[in-house]
Amino acid sequence: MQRIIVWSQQSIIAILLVAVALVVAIANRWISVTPAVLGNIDMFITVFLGIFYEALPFLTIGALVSAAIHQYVDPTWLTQRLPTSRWGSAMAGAMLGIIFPVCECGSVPAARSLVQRGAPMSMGVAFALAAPVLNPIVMVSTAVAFVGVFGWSFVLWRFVLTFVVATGTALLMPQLQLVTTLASTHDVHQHDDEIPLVALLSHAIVDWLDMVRYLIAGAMVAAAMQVLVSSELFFTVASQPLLAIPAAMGLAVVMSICSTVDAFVALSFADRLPMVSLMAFLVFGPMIDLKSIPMFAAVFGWRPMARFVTTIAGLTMVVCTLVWSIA
Amino acid sequence: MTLTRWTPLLMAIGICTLSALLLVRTTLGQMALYIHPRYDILLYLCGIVLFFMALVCIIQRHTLPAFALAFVLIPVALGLGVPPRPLDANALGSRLSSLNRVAQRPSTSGAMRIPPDDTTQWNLYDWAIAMSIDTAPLIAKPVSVEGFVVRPPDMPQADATFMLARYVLTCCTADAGGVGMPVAWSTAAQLADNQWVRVTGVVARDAQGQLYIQASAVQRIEVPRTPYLSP
Repeated sequence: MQRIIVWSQQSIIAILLVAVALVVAIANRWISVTPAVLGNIDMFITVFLGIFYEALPFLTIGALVSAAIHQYVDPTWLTQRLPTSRWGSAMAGAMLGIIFPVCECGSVPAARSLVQRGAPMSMGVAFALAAPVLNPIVMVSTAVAFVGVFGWSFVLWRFVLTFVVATGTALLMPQLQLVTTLASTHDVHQHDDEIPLVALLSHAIVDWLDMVRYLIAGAMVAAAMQVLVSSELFFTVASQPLLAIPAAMGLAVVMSICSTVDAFVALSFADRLPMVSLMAFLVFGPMIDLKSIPMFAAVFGWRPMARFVTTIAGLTMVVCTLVWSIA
Repeated sequence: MTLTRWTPLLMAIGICTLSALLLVRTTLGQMALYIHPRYDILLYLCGIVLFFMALVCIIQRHTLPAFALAFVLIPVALGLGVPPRPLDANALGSRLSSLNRVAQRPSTSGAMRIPPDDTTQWNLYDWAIAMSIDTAPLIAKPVSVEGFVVRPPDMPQADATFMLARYVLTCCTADAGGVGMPVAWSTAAQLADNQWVRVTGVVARDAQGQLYIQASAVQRIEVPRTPYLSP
């Protein structure tokens, strides 16, 4: 079995490197292809690198926050001060982004660190899902974008519904467990006698390496989807009233843009999507996109991912529809 | 698969190269082809942190997965091996039907963009905003704008017209949207797709009520250092 896994990883590495060499050769015009293929390859590279370069600093911040939690948070101190009930833990976790302002690329490694240091899983899940929106930076950017257009109520509903979906998912998915990874098995007391900054970077590099491959894989898929699937398709689907919310959520997944600026992008869709769909875009997108799915899978494993994503999508659709029906 | 005793060194070289890529491309202004310049400070800090992480890789000699190294090499290879290029006419092809919709994107500062009174100072984004409000006052106004040439498949009189377009970017190339105006120019057929040009002329209205630029001069120019516009 071990031999099969090793062979499989070697094969994937070989295929990846050959594919990258081929893309580099075509993009440099060393291999002649049709103008359409060449144009698509150029677009893929520019979009992929755009997503990667934009997300990389936030992933690095997340790895540093994760390392700081490992190094400075005492598990005994933490467990004594946390709510004991699952409800309390999940709600507290959903608000932790105000203290640790990280976006979706950084919230996953930071949440894993919290759980490894003794925080309940419900708190880690709620934090990972809510922190990309319920943090001071995104609160300001959402207000700047939408207050003048839809008023404060729309802005506040984004925060409330994100809190509800993140807390609800944490409570509905009690079976989630951390999978064993390089970062989770890394001995945090291995270098207790070293300089604190070196110890911090030592933890951070392990977390960073553990997550960066999933970011890269997700960014490649997102770039490929942007080349292959026109965003117009989502707007066409969204013109059907029953499909408007799922279409907006699908658009958020494919675009995979950072939560720090997604409000500004969403506003440009205001004349093409109903308000309730815009809200679904703003609640679902920061939790689930083509970058975050592989990162969540790295932490919780691939097996529960379908249910995890379905739960978040279902809750988003339900709460958005419910609020707009009543309001 | 874990790496041999050489792998911490290989990993450090890979991360160091990525760090150098971030620092050099940002310093040369080439990151503007991929992400909004507001992220430059974060890219510098990230490059510095990655450099120190690479040093720690060598000092600590961590056991690291080869899988991670292979993935890190992908952006390094594409970033180093392919000359930086902005999004072009081909990428706009699938987004032509949503041209100028990006005009409704607000500035990230929240401030309302107020173009100068002199319309020759306006860029294509300013024109897109103005056209989304009211087209009547724009007729016969003088224009001087830069952009690249793109030809929608359904463009009438393709020998004498082209679309002058440019991208507007809020965050990164994943959210880029196009702005553009049709240009009437007698020798338009001599201009290749993607060619950057400066167009001067006046705004006119065609039989369908669409605004276009009646060009008096079309000058070929180099790709600007910052090819994208920002809300």
